Amino acid sequence: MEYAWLLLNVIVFTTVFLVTTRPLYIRSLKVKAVKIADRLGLSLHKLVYSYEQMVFFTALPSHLPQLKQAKKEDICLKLDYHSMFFPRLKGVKVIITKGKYPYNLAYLPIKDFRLPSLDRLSSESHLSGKEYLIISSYLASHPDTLDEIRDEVFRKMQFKDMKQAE
Amino acid sequence: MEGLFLTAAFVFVAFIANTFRFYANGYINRLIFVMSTVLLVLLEQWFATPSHTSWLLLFAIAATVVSFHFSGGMIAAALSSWYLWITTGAMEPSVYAAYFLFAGSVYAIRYYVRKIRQQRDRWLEILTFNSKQLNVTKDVSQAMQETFNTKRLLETILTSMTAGHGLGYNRAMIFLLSEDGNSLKGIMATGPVRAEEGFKIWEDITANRYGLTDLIDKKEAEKSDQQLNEIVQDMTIPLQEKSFLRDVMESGYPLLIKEADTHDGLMMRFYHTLGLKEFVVIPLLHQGVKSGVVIIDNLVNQKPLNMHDVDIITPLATQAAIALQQASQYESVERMALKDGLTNLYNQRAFQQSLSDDFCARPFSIILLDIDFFKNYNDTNGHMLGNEVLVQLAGVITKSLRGDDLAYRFGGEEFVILLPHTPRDQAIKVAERIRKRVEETAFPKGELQPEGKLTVSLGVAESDGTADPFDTVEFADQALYEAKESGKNRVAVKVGM
Repeated sequence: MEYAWLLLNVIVFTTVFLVTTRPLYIRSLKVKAVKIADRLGLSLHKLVYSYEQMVFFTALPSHLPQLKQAKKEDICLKLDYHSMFFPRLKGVKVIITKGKYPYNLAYLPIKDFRLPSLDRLSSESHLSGKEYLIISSYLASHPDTLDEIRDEVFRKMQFKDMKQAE
Repeated sequence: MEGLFLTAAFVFVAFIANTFRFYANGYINRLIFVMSTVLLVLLEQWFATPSHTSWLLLFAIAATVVSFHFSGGMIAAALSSWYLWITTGAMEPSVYAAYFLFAGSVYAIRYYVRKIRQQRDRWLEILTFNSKQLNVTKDVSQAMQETFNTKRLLETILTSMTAGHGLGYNRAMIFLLSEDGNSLKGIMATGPVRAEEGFKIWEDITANRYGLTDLIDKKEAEKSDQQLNEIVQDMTIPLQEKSFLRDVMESGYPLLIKEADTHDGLMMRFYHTLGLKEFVVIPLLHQGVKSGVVIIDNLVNQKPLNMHDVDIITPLATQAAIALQQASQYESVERMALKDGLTNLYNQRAFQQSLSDDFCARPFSIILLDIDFFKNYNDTNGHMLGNEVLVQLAGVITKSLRGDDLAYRFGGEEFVILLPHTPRDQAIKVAERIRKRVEETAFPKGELQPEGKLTVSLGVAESDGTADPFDTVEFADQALYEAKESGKNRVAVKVGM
């Protein structure tokens, strides 16, 4: 009985550990990013960023039924991490959840998620590469940014853009 | 009760460890993770009866292997053995051996998982790289197909190399081979002259969310990158002297320069004028024909360049070479279609096209010109000499025009000159200048003309931009008729429109 109880405790520990790892990592990113921003006199909400390096694995707009019929709610943005126990944000995956199997549509590597203001500070040696990554990771994981990326992906998926261009 | 307390303690330890470990550096983070599992062992030992320390230590060993790899795992196995020995007082070699074996097994699994993960990351990297290249090539091909205009093509090529939606390099410059093949001439460039300027452009692009097409249009409309363009367009590189550009043109192979060579004069010139330190030179090559080079660098973000970049740019440069060749052929055909074969002035078709162009919606003047007694000239001297006169006259007209004026062969011995934004008084001055210069020019057998020299009559008309341009031509024709009727070798004006 004691063995079972102990095993349960170990499972509980591991589960709590794994479940809280990523949210608490993101929270630490926020605290660290705010601290760095304060030191540099930056306002995180005012920083403009570029997700133009997002790579699409399928040219959009596409005639694939899974993509053509997808609604905005079907666009799922998933944060991609290195390691389970020691997470580090690696990128943002764009997945279309409509259809039988999820469709990997695009990927934004975090190293290509650039912020001009930080590039400038970095070139002037006011910001280290590690600090840059903390701020860019925090902003890339922010729900507002993910919403914006979702809007952009959905816009690209629409055929009306081409009609307007014509 | 004890069990519940222990569960709560385990949850608490997991939560607290995760709350704090991300604020520390990588090593401390790992140490906190290991220490949290060690704390579990201690908690269990203090509060649970009977104790299960011997096998719970496996948990701590596993955490250590995950955190500190093989060596960490071995140390953890040794420490666990020692701890078990001092707490129990009994020597249990089989348990100790199991600890080491367990550490080795966890490491093997970890190694395998890591390998799979690395492989997955590598595949993802290759996939994103190739997809990116494919997307850019597709976008650029599409943009290139929309025009045969060389300038627009060059803008498209350069923008696709520098825009974030494209390849994302900081600067790109195009140098094209001169017609005689002896030099490279700077044609167009995109990017800043100084890094500071680059950050401003970069912020503007990011804030406005400009796409590739927006940037191409923006470049055309705003005449951006003027300073860099002025410097590049001012550069002519002779290929007789030995230089890195001559090497590229001769070999047809790309060149990656990691550091400017102080012994290469041309490289030093690029370094001093453009701050070019680390850069890539790609030849514009199609079917063995070299039409120029593209130079790429990362002045702003100082991102290092490597052969990977060469592989990325080369297909785009090849496509650019094809497009430039096609555009050049198209432009020469278009030129032939709009030019008069004899005089090399624009022809009647070009004139009709100009009348439909926007500039006729603004004030302009027209001069119609006709050679006096040209039938007599042809009858007396033959058509061959008549053609010579037409060519010579076209030269006189061209030299008498101002910058924006356009001359056309209207047909036979009639010529027409379009003068944009020109009021009647100035048009009369231009017409009079032509008349006088023709009168003063010695044309072959001109002395056989009835007046003893070859002369022309000119009719001038003006439009305020609201009238039908073809009506203005009609008025100029009436003025020309008036000049002929009133004695020839003169300028007449149709007034009152």
